[in-house]
Amino acid sequence: MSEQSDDIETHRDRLIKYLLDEMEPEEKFEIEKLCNLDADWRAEKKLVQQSLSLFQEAGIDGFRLGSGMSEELSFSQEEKTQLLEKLKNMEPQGKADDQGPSSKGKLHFWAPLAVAAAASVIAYFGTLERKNKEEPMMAKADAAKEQLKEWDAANQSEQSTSQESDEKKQDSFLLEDSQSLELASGAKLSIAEDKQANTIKQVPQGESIEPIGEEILSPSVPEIKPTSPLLKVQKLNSPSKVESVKWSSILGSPRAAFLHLENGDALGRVKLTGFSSDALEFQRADWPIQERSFALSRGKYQMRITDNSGEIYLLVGKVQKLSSASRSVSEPEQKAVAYEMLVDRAWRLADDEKRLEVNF
Amino acid sequence: MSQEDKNSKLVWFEQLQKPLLSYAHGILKDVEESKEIVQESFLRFFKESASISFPKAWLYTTTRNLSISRLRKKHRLMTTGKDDRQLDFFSDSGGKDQEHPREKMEKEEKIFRVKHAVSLLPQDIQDLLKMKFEQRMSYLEMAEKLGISVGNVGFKLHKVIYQLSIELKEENILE
Repeated sequence: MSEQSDDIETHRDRLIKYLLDEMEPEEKFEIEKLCNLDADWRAEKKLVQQSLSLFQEAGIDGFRLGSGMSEELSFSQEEKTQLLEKLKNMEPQGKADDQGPSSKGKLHFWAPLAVAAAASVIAYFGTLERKNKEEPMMAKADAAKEQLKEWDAANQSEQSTSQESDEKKQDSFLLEDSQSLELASGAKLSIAEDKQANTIKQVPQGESIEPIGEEILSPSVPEIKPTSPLLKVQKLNSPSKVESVKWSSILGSPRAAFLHLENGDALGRVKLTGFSSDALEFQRADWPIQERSFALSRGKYQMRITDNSGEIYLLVGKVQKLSSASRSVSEPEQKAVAYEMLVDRAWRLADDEKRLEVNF
Repeated sequence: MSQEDKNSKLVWFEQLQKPLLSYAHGILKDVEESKEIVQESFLRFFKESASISFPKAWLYTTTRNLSISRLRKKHRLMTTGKDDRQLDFFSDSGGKDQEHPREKMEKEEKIFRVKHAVSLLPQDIQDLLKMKFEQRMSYLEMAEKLGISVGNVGFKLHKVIYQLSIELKEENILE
């Protein structure tokens, strides 16, 4: 890992040095050549260039912040205590209590707070009727407070039915809003596969709730939890919320692709070497020493792909090592370690970073 | 939300409450409003049920958007510090050959974000950045002034530039 980091740093060092005009002419020529030949180098160069340009503009008037900015602002002790108290007592919308294995089944949904929001959600998403006939979640949208209780009760009883009911659950949406909050373009009920297997999280698709009068606000980008079979069922059951995307053109010649850990940590640029209906093959891009291991451990990863029109797609899935790279790649690339991502879910990122689910 | 998640969010609160206040204040120029906005950002952060890939970027973006929304809501005019031109964020009017006020505002906001990020760095790194981008010094000049090697100058400078690039990209400030 440290060797890998060293190589990446060397690569970036060279690029920054080049862009800051701190290189010898021969070395400059080499970088220019690399940038001309390799789209990944070009993309990396563009990123650093944009960044340097901002630094340069910031440096024109000096980095010093304006008057009044140097003083250190902070909450008073009292304000901080009050805020901390609020935060500590706060529960996420649609949260699932982490009750531990002994009480796995116990769920608490934060249910809708206002009639208007409930009505708008139902109007938007259609019926929220559950497949599980034994536990109808909610039937009408004209009594949000009633719904709140119903939902809570239904969720608790639902939980007791464990996995059986999991499979039957359909989308559930978080409704908030005594302040006329407005619902996001989508929300999914996701079930984690890990130790909290019965933990249900409501995962809004992108920005979800905004008070009136505020515009695009939180860049809410829900991180993807391990996908259960339920999610796949949901995908099939709710085609109206899933965009179709022409993956062949996107994956055939993406502008850039970056790999991230599930927690979002960036692992750097990757090069797509092949794809099928449910998987992608890739290698580390700009990997100067091909014989050296890229060494990804098996597990869930995220991949952020920018297509040639600038649209950004986010894919999540399990990554595993391939014995050999795709046959379609060139000889040097075949020497590199290749990986395969089995894609669970995919989103297109809207301009405001909302995740819009797309078919893969 | 598990206790672990909550604790992790509380750590973000401790780490970022002051920087975010300072950031919001840079946009709003009002201490009380900045506090309201930062408080709202954290409330949303804690309310968010899904885990967030880049908490820092999320919080900065939310704070920025809330602050700008607040400005828009109040139709406040912002005065650019240097020449006292008034910049109406909300107006679509503007000379054809001039940069659109909104674009100008966005650009200034990006620059402010960079300055803010720089202001949070250790003093020695801030000095390096100032030498490079304010005084336009070469690595050699910087190395001589600081009494360190040229390689060391490059190492420190590149590291911070790249780190900030990633942060800015995560916040969609860079394309």
